Amino acid sequence: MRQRQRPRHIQALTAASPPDDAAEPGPARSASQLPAALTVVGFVALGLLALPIVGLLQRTPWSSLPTLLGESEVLEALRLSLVVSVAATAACVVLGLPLAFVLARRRLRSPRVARAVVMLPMVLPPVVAGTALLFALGRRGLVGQWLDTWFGVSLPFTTAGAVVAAAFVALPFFVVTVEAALRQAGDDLDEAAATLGAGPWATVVHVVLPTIRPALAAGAALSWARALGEFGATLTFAGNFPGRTRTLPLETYLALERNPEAAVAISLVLMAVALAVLVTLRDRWMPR
Amino acid sequence: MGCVALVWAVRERSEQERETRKQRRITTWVDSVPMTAVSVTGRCHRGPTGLRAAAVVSAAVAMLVSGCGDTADDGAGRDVVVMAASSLTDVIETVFEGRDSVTPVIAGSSTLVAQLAAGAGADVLITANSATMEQAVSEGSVHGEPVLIAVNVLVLATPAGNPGGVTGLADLGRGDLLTGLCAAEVPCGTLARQALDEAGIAPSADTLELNVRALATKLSLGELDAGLVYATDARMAGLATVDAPELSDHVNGYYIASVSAEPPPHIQAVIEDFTVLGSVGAKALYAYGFLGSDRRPVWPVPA
Repeated sequence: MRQRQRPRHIQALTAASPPDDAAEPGPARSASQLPAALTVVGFVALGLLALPIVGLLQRTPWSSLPTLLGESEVLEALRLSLVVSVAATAACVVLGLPLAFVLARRRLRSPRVARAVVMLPMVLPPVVAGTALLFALGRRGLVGQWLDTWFGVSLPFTTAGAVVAAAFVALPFFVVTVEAALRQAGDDLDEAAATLGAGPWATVVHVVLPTIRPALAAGAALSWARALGEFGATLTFAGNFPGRTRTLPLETYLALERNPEAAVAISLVLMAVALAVLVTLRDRWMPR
Repeated sequence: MGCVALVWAVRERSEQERETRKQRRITTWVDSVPMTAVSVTGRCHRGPTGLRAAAVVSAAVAMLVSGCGDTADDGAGRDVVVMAASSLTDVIETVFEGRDSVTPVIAGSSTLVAQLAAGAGADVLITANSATMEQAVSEGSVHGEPVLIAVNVLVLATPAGNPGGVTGLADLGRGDLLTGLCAAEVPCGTLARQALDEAGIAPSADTLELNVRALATKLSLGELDAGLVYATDARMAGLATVDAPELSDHVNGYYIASVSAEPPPHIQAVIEDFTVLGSVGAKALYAYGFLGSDRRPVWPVPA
């Protein structure tokens, strides 16, 4: 047990420090050592993932693309999607970072239950997640009714509601990524910092956060991507109204009913935006 | 080494098991193909020896991609796939309860029509208005002649107890109420828009739901104060209704049609479950509050 943990731990620390990790035995991972079957199935899997995207590209009406995307509804949905997904990611960072710290560093009475609760939105069908949010934060919901009577705030059918729905489904992606990084980094550095006289806040800000910076970026990117594509929970909790809650995925769904070509064009934009961001982030921030 | 041997033994055994299972599946599959269907499937499978191998392959393919594509295997061994509009959810459940040979697919009519056009494998289509059925006919995804099986009316619905104090259709234009409609892309939305336009009411909807069920649910949860849903959905969701005489002229016809021009008997039987007077489907439609087809809109003859 100890033997297995130790080298991984050291490796994590070296990987987190400046990216030119010469210590990493790169050439040792050459293809010759990989069983042929793994390679074959691996590439088949990659092909399966890429195939639908190729299908989409092949059906893309390239010539009418500018007209289809220039429609005011599409631009409106794009703008709203960016606002909602960025706001949801911000919420994920603000709420998810402390949660990841609690999960990784605090002795919880039942850590497994806590971790399962964090993962639930990942497995919950988004429509159910949306319904659950209605039960909790809707106008007649558990907490929502008090929000309504005390503050006159009603989340469903508002942009804020769309942000809540997106953040709810995206939060686990951030927490899980950051928690794993915190565990991998271990608390040796924290202790060292404490010995040198750093307070808890200083340790977090100057030691821990810089160490897990790649994971922070990865977690934020994942949760952002999830928020951008969010459909079911948004529709159920926030409804569908142009400019207010009709995000790109909802617009795509509606477009599929009136003009499939437009739906393809919008999906293409959605994919291009996500791909651009993820590739950029990967190159700049994430360990390769 | 011993470990490897064990793995091998296990693999051998499961291989054998799989073989016997496969045999069993073939026999049941081949046995269940009636004489009429064999001629149809004959396009896929050549000769008696080839038939077995092809059956294995097609069974495997069926498991992978649900169906051997649009080269049509109408064999009775396959489930009859019935695509039905979401407002028919309960009717479909009642009619096909306990019938394993029928697989219902429930979604908004326009979604279903789009799926059919994209090559989804289905045998029967039931839409919630004539426009979507017309589209399916014109796109060539439905070949049987559509038959009107029921009509549904729109009602002005509120949560039980009418907490928003809604008094008439004009209240849908009130900004202080939370109101909802179906999106214009689905039949209940098209109908609602027609009715509101004719009544000269500009709705201030807060949400345009993608299907009538979702709208009814939001009303029943009290998240919305008013909305236009079908009478049947209002009834199912336990909603209160407010008199709105402007709506009475606006009805949607429910149409059923077979995907193939000459459906085999077992598919024809499923269609007759709805079209024949006193059939199980007709009874269920009546039980859930659909109106009979006496207000029969004239079916546009497909060109």
